[in-house]
Amino acid sequence: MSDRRNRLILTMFALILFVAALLALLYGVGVFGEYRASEPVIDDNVIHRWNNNGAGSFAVLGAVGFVLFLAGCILVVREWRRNDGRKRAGTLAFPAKVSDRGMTTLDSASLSHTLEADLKRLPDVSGALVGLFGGAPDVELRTVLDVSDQVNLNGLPKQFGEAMDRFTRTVGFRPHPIRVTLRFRGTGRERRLR
Amino acid sequence: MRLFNRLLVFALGIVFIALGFIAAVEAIWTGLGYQFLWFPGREWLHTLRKTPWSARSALVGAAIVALIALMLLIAEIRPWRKRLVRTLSDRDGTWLLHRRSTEHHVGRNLEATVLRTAIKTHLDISAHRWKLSLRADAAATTRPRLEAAGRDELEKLGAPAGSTVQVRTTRGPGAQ
Repeated sequence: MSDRRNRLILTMFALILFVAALLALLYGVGVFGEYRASEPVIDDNVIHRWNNNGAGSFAVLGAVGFVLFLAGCILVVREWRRNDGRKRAGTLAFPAKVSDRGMTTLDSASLSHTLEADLKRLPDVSGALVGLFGGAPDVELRTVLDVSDQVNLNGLPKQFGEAMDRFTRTVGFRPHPIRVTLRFRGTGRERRLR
Repeated sequence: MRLFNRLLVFALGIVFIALGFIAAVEAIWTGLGYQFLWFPGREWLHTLRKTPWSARSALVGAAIVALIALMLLIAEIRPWRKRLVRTLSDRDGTWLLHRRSTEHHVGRNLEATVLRTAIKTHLDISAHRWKLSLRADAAATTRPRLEAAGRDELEKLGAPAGSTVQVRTTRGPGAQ
């Protein structure tokens, strides 16, 4: 799940909670009339409706519980397997180009690790994380490079391009689009203005 | 805030699972004519039938929930600083900088320029302009040097041409 979606979910949740609590508060202090403020939270009307509906009331409550359970499962699973809202590439399958029979399958995790190992060999790059997203032939590549303070930012794109050329020659396809995030890694103290 | 949101959404998911499961099972169970399984439903129902909306407990409960929800709402809708920064030289969105690590990087490089000086950095990013704020534990006379060094750093990072550097020093002009 992406950060934006998390923010949207929590905003909606907070808004619903706030409106409900505010209404309860206004109800309680008598904004809607003293008579209503003195009514119990669950009044006879609610009890009457519940009884009138019979088995339907239990069915509705059961259905609401089931929907809530499903929503909870979706939230937990998406948060557990975070990929910034994108689907990780599993096994990439490419049909044979020269004939209509057979295909090449590549495990995206091993491809990622291969490229990571190559990128770590670039000058001033101490770490690399590579993620492949989508499916063949439209594979998106996202990478985070840990670079030192001495890194040559003008030379790095060329070196990265060479690493991508090697990757393309080895696996037979070039991911597109490519997104590279640079993270500076210093050895000394780190400070930030608050 | 991003980590907080991730944990909160995860916790919310767990709460939804627990509540949904209990509600579904209890509804089926009591619908079949049995007693509540896990929570004292009859006692709760009895209490809620006796508690008016104007009761102190109801008002305090509603006020606490409203306050927490309002705080969360404000935290979520206020503008957040960008986590990633796009450099000017990058035309197709390929090369991005991690903002916080870039702030630290600039701070470290400037500390090497003005020796024995603690420097704190803050980077404000907008589409056409970056603003680098520096707070240095140094004499005011070092300001021009820090400003020039700050500009060099922004240039190296590919900041837009109209970017500015603001330097604040915490020692007087005559201090060493």
